[in-house]
Amino acid sequence: MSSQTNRDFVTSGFMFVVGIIAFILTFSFKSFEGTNFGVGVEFMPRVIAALILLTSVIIFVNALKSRSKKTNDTNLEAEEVVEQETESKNYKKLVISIIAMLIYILLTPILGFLIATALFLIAQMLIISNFAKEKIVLFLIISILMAVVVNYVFRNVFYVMLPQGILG
Amino acid sequence: MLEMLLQGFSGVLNVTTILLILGGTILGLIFGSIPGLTATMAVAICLPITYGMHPVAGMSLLMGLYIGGVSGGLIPAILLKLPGTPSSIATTFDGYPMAQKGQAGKAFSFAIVSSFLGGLISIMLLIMIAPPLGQFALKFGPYEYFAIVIFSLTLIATLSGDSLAKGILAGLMGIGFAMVGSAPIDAFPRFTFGFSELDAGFDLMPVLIGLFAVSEILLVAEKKGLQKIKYDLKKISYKVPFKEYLSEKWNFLRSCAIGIGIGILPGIGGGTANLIAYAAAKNASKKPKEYGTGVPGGVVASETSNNAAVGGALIPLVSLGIPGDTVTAMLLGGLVLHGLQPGPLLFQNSGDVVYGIFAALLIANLFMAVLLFVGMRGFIKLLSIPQYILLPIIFALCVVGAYGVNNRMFDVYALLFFGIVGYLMSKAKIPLTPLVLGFILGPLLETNLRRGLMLSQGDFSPFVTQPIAAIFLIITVVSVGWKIWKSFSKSKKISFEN
Repeated sequence: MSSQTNRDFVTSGFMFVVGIIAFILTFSFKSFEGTNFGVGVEFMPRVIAALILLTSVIIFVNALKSRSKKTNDTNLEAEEVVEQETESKNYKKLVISIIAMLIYILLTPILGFLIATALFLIAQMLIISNFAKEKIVLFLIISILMAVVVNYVFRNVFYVMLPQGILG
Repeated sequence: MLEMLLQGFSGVLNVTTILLILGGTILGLIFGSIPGLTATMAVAICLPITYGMHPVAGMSLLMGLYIGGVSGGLIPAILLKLPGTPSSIATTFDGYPMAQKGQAGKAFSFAIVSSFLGGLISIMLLIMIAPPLGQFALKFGPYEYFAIVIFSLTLIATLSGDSLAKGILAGLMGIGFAMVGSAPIDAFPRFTFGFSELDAGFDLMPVLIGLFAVSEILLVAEKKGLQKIKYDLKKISYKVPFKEYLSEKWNFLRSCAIGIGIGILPGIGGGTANLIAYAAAKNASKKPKEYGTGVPGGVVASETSNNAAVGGALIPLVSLGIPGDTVTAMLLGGLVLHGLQPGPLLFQNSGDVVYGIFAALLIANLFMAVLLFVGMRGFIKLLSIPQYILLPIIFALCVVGAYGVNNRMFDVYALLFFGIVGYLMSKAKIPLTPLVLGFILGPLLETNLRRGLMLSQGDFSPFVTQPIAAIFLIITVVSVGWKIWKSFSKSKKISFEN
């Protein structure tokens, strides 16, 4: 089975669940008398939820069809297994990146934009460059410089009040 | 009209605004020329800068970014076979072979001249069409708007992505995300799960920046090795005999028309226009087999149409308040940030801003052509900045952009959330653009539906009996029917071949 077909199964299943939850939630919406001509607040969400259910079923059926077509083609399968393996090795970098971004966002109000940004930039440059340690001095200089410049320009030139945290 | 345009120029012709347009165009060209960075990203990152500015100055900067962002893609497309933006995909087909033959300079000449002229004609058309269209749209009531929005929504579904079902799903997801928060008209909170931060719903900026910038960073982050870009350009000669330019005139005019037409249609922009114009040029050519081997015609078709799409995409934005592509969706956000309501009333209420936008576009278009001819070497050098340095900085700027809208951290969390959503959608091969259009058009759809029903006391029939609404609904049914029939006959053909 191809990885894309697998993903289509996951997509359709996930969106089916989302559609059901959304549909059930619409029953808790209340319309006010007087503004409710023909349809109320629950009408559109219910229609959209129903359509999401319908499209997820269509994607599921399409995925089933493409699976039954491909089962005989072993060459294709082998290729896709290789593709899947090389892909899976990279997910580590992705997960670390997302965690770094999340920590950055959580720390920004506490440490302030300047410090949090400098720390994040160094970390993220290391992550994306596959931990090119020989470049750490370069990353350090660029990160601190960029954090200072962005913080100064947005606060003092464009008047965007970035969080100052412990410095404020 | 001329008077208004002159007034627009007088609003733009001051040192600050000219510098803003120049800076915007340069930055746009940089973003356009570096693969992975897009015009949408450039506009997203610069939006917070415009908060404190006068609306005309702010929009002028964004226009420079838009024109530059669409045009910059031609540099890596010709030199490296890497389209800097989706708008330049077809430029690689003939531009790169030309560069391989040692004609990089000639390819640049054709690309820059056709970008400039394509942009110029489409902006002129925008100036002529948008005001009367806005005037006409003033007559539109909820029924007409409902029909237009339905039509726009089905266009997304029928025209983007390989899979019809996935395009529709993305559009539905967009409408669903837009429903979070207070309902239109009676303000009942929906899908907020008790979080008061969600009462106002998701802001457009974090959604756009997250989907188009953060997801891109995540996609690069998971790549194992990163490519290094180096290009050695010795001596480039831009010289092209005037006769050669002239021989492409029909190709140019056709591509220009295609670009403007596709730009006007909501949901698709330069990314699709350049491919269709290329195919049309190839079909119309006397020597179609030479296309792809390095003929100027291919470059002209692609670069004319993507810049022509700029003016086209701005027509529905300015006159109806409906964005034509992702950049115009972002520009719509920019107008709203300045307290301006895009749509038919924009001309009446803020004519100075609209004509200022037109003037800024014309100036930015000129800057773009000059900058590309003069600064080509500099832009080529920028191509070699590694992505591991650029992308983290861009994320930090995305955070500033998302935070700056309302000065609250909630929007930054939303930014990361939509970044992950965009990443997962790319993995599932679900197109992103329909989501954005659904997010913007969904509330318009619901508001006009409910307004219309209030007007008719709950009667649905005016939606189909009002003439303008009826025409749009008929066009909608026909276009959807045609697409379904086409995809059905295609799948039948495939199974027959198997």
